[in-house]
Amino acid sequence: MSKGAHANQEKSEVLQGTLDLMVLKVLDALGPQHGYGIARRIEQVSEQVLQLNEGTVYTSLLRLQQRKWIASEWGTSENNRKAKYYSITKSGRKQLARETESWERIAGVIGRLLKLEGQE
Amino acid sequence: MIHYLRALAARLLGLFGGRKADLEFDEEIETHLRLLTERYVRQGMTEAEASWAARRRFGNITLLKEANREMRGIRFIDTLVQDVRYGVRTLRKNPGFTCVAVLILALGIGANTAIFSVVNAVLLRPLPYRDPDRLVLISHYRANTGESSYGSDFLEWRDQAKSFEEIAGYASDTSDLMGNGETERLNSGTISTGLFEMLGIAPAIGRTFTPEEDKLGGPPVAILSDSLWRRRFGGDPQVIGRSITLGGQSRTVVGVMPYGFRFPEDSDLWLPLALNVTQELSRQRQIHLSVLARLKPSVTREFARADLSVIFERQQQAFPAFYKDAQIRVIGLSERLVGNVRLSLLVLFGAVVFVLLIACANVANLLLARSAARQREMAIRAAVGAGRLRLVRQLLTESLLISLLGGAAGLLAASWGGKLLVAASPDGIARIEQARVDGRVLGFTCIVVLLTSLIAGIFPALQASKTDVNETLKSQSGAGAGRGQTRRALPALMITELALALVLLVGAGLMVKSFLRLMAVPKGFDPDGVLALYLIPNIDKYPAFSPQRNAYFQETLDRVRRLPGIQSASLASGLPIESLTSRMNLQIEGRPPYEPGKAPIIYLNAIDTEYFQTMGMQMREGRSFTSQDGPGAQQVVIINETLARQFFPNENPIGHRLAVGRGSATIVGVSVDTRNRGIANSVNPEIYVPWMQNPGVIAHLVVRAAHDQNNPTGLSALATAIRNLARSIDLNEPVNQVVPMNEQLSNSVADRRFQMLLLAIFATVALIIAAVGIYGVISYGVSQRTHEIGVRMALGAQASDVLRMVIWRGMCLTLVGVTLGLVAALALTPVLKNLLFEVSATDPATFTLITLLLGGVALIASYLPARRATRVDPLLALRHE
Repeated sequence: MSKGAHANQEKSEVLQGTLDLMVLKVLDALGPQHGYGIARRIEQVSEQVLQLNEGTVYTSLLRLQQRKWIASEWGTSENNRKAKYYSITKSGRKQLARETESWERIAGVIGRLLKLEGQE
Repeated sequence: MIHYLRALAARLLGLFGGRKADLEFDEEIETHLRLLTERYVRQGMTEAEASWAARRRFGNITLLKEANREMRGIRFIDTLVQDVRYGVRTLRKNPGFTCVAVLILALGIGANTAIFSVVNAVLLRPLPYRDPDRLVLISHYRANTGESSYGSDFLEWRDQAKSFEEIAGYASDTSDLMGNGETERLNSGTISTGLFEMLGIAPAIGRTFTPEEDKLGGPPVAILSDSLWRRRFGGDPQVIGRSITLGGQSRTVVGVMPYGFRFPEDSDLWLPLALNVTQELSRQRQIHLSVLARLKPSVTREFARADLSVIFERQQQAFPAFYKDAQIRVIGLSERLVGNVRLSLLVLFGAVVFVLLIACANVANLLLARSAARQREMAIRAAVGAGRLRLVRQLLTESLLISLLGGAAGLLAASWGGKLLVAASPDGIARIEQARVDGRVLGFTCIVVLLTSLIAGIFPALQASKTDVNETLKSQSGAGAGRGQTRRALPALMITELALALVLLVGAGLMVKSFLRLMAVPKGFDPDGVLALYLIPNIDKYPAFSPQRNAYFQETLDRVRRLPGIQSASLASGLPIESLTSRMNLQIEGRPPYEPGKAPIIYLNAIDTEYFQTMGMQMREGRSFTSQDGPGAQQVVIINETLARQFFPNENPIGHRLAVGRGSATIVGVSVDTRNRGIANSVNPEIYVPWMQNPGVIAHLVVRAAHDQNNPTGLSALATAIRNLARSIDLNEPVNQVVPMNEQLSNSVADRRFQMLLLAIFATVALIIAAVGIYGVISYGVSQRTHEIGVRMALGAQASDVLRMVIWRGMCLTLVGVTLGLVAALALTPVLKNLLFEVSATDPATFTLITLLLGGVALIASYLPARRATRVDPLLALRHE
């Protein structure tokens, strides 16, 4: 997956595994979206900090779908194109809650750890 | 191994299931790229720049597609591989369980495959002719003589009927092929031109008959079958144009038919019908023909029947007596060839389906009992994240593995058993020899395997996966939560098994009883130690009723009588059971003549003086024939009891006179009845006339062996001696097999015996499987209640109380199962009605006996575990858990 990522020193790469969380969150917050819309939202929120290969969004979407955390349906996009719309499922919401909780826990741990090292 | 499987699976999915997903994914990417490009264009890039930027932003598309495809494929296959590996491991860890389950299913699936291979060959495969659905046989049906049609009918239908594209007539005959110092009697089909064309079968070499050849006095020609051509002419293509000698007449071979084509019957060769008599003459001479026709496309059988009825009315007006009581019958060729085999095959098929269902129930039993022991395992799996569906899927994979193994074993058994089945089958089931495991049978077996794994596996899988993780993991024994459900499910399966087994057993019981009834029918003669030989000397050399023909019969009889080891011998124009064919109208002198067409039909048998003695028949009254009853003496006749009872109910028939031939004959005796049209059919009025006064055209030679020869070796030596002797009388005359009467008798009931035996075998298998099932359910119940039984015994319950309790439970279930089975049997056995002889389809005695039998088996099957329960040591049992 990461093979396609271009090294860009100024921007951070998407951390392995976090893309799924981001996609889930976007779908949870914005309702049904197509892949393009999800990519735009992530770009918008990250404020150009993150370097994202937009194709990887689709790998993430497939992975989430196989775990039944999101569902998909064909629909028409804003400019009348056929597009696949993804929406979060009930179990997806639960997973999002779990992931959010564990993310915050880990982030907290890492944050404390880094602070500690800084003090020394 | 796994890598290989993965690669294979991905490729497979890419080939089949993945295509649609691939296309959809392409479309999605396409949309994304376009939207991105449009955005860049709006930001001021040129179209080309924008497109390139969009691609860069998106990343490596090919790589993405590959990753996508791989992910889609592997998850499914991964699970499957996992399940299969796990299943194989589980099955290997329980070899006993696996063996029993596989064996039971192999029995069920094997029986189904074997019977289906026969059903496929006989009923399902279409006839190998052009548009076989449009081929029909047309005839006149009369209640007392069955279907018949004459040369005249054929000509009239051919010329007047509008519903048919083509009509052809044919008959089966025999011809003697001479040459190489050896005469062989062959089956010959005499056919009208156009028969082969109508069937859509072209000769392999040469041609079919021309219209000129199909006329009386036309060029004498013949067409050979492939088998005759290879056997007698070494498969030489130069045979066309050669001449062969058939019954003293020389004929030119004009064609050879392709391999396997023998229509009608088992024809070795074909001759032109050459029907060239006037229609009137043909009716008088009663030239029997079968008439085959091809319906016009879109013409129904009903329409054809209506069309033929118009002709029939004309015929009836012209010849009222001849067509009295007749009606038109139009029947499909395939139906005729299949005949009543359809019913018995379907019954057998139903029986094996029952066997399979019982087998399924039994395997479900085993799985359920085992799943109770696996509660803990299931709970752990559920705890680490396996969903219910995932558990069910894994358990179903296990039952699929079992039924796959069972199916493979069953297929082996079926290909072997199928051969046995065909070898044991009675004659006259068309195309049964073609039964084998072909693509369709294989497909059938695959479907059966899938269904079996579902039927046997789904219930236990649902039960086992319904675990309460907390409860199960908390309880020490690991058999907590689901136990109650298992306890309820097992009895349901046992009841099902019992009910199914009962239906099957009742069906088999009825067939066995019917067969025993049939065998117990008084035959009126004693077939033991009697041999019969069928003499049909060549009609050209020995014309019918000629002195030469009679001399031939007489000389054969005289010389056979002089053979050592023979007690008596006689000629007869017909024999009981199968071959009594001469019919005539009854007319008693001194009584008003019957109206034309209303005279009762009686059967006639011309016999020699020693006939009754040879056949072991008793005279009821009067005398049998003596050598005094010669051609010049007063005409005499002996009647059978049925005739005496029907037409001389209150008087002594002896001394009355009957019209026989052109004169009349005095009744001198009354003989016992013999079953002259098969054991299962009622006896017709029959008369016997002296051979010397009324010699027949064909003769049966019956011989009774002396007492010291009445054993298999003696009889077979005698048969050879008779055959050799008969052959030595005229070297050019082919001589038929000498057949023991007993064998003929047993052949005549072969189809009934076959049905009965198969049904009995299947029912026995069902009974055994069901008994094992009952035993399993009750033992499981006992083992689950060990604790409870221990408590009861500790509180003072006696061994007999425990015994009673366990057996009582088994019997309660049995009662429910048997009751359900009886209801089902009452609903289903009427299907057997036409296969039964003098036994009602709801015969109370059979139903009672079978119920008792099954009840007894259930009792034994519950007694054994019950006895084990009484040996429970209360201390041990209480410590248990």
